[in-house]
Amino acid sequence: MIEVHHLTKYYGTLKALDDVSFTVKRGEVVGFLGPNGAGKTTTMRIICGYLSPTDGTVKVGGYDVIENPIESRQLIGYMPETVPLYNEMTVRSYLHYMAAIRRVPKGKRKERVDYVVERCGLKEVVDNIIGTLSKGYRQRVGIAQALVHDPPVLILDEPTIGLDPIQVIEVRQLIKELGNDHTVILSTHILPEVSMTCKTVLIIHRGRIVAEDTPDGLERRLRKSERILVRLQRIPDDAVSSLERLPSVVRVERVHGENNLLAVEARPGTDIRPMIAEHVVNHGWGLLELRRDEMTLEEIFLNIITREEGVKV
Amino acid sequence: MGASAIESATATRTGVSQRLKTALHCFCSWLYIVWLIAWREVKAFFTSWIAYAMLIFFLVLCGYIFFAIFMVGRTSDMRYFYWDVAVILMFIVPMMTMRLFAEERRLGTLELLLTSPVSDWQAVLGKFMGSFIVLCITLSLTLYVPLIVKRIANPDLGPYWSAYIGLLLYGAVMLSIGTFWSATTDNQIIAAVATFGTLLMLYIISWPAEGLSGWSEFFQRISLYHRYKDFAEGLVDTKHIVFYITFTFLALYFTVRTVESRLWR
Repeated sequence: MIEVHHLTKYYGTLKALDDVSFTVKRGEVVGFLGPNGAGKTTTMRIICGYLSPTDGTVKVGGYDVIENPIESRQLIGYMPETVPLYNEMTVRSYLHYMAAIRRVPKGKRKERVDYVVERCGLKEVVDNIIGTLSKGYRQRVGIAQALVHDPPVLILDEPTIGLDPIQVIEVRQLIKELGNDHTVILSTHILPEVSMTCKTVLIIHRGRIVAEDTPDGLERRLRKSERILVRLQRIPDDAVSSLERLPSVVRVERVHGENNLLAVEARPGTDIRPMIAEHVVNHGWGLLELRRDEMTLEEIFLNIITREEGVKV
Repeated sequence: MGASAIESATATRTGVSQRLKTALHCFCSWLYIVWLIAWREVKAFFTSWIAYAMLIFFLVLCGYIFFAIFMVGRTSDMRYFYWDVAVILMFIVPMMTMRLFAEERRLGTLELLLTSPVSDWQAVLGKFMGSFIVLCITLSLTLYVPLIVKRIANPDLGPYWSAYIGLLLYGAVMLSIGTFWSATTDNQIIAAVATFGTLLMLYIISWPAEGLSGWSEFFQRISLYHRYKDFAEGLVDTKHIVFYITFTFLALYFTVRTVESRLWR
C-alpha cells in the first residue's frame, strides 16, 4: 500500500532523513518510534505530499506522491501532531467541509459524517464550536476528519500526545479497531504505545531506520542472551557456582535490591527453564518463582540507539 | 466502405463530445472545490470582529464623504466619491486578506488543506475568491449612493456602472497582492503591513510623474490608482481591464509559487 524508496530530505544543510526505505502492506498497523527530531514527522509529511523529498520516491496505492499528488492524497487520511482545526466552525460543519473537499459525493456526505461522529464518540459535541472543545475531543475530531472520506490509509502523528490517561486508552483502543480495516501509520515517542497498537515497529533515529520488526520479534532479536530470573527460599553459598556448572549457562548473579533473586544468563536459543527447575528442586532450595526476564521496548530502544551511536563513533 | 467511414466519423464525433463532457465535468468539480474553500473563507471572515470593525469604518467614512460631496458640495458628479472609495479600500483590503494564509499557517490547518486532494491553485484561487466575495459585499453597501442621487438629481448612470466595474477590478488587484503577502508569513500583522505598504507604493508612484519629463507615462502606467481614475470618470478602457486582470493573475501565480515553496524549502 505504501512504498518508500531511499528517501532523503535536507532542510538546508541539515539532513533530516537519510536513505529511508520501507513498505507497508494493506491492513498493517505500523508504528514509527523514535526520539523527538528523529524524522518521524518529516517522513509522514512527505508521504502526505506536504513536503517533497530531496531524493527518493514514495508511492501510495501505486500513485507517486509527487507525480500524482491528487490521486495519492485521496487515499490518505492524515492527522498532524498539533491537530489543527478551524476553531470557528462546529464539529458537524467542519467534518462536512472536510468530506466535501476530499470529494465525498454530495449524497454520501451526511452518512459519512454521521458514521465518523459515531465511531469517534463525538455525538455529544457535534454541534459545538471546535474552539470550545477539550483536548481529548479535539483529538477525536482530528481522527474523525482523517476518516471522513473513508481512506484506505491513515497517518496519525503522535495521536495520544497531551491526553490524560483515560483518553489515551480510548484513543489507542480506537486506533486498534481502525487497524482492522485500514492501513495505519502512527508515530510516537512513547514506547508502550507501539507494543499495544502496532503489528510492526520501525525505529527511527537521526533520520535513519535502525530497526524494523514486530514488537515481539524485536525483543527476541535483541536479546543477546536469555535471562532467567529465579527466586529461591534461601540461597546457599554454593548455589551460584553449582548453577553455573549447568550446560548452556553463561553466568549467574544475584540481582541487587531483590530478595533472594538470581539472574541466570544462558546462550540464546535455548530454554533452560526446565533444567533449572529440576536442579533447584533436587537440591531442595525452595523454588518460589521462575520466569524469563522480559526486555521492555524501552530497553530495546535504548539498546538499539546506543549501539548505533557506538557504530558511528 | 462508405458505411464504415460514416460509422467511424460518428464514433469520433461521439468520442469528442464524450471527451468534451468529461472535461467539462472535471472543470466543474475543480471549480466546486474552489467554491467550497471560498465560501468557508467568507463564513470564517464574518465570525471575526475585524469584519464588523472594518465594515463600520468603511460605512462611516463613505457616508461622511458622500455627505460632504452631495449635501455640502451640492453636485451629482460622484467621481470624487468613487476616487475616495478606492483610497479607503487600500486601508481595508489588508484586513480582508491578512488572515487568508497567515492564519492557517499559524494554526497549522494549511497542512491539512494542502494534504487533502486539493491543488495549490485551487487553494489559492479559493482563498482569493473568498476575499473577493467579501469585497463585493462591502462595495454593495455603497449602492445607496446611486439610489439617492438618482432620486434627487436624475443623473446619467453610466459613470456609476463604470466606477463599480473599476472598483471590482482595482479591488481584485489589491486582494491578489494581499493574498500573496499572506502566503509569505504566519503573522497576520506582517501580512497586513506588507500589503498596505505595497498598495500605498503603487498608489503614490504616479505622483512625481509630472515633474519627470519622459518618465511620466511610465509611472502613470504602472500606477494602479491612476488607471482607476478613468473608470470613476465613466471611461471603461479595455487596456485598463487587461492590465488589472493580468496583474491579478500574476500576483496569484506568485502566491501559488510561494505556497509550493514549502515542498523544496
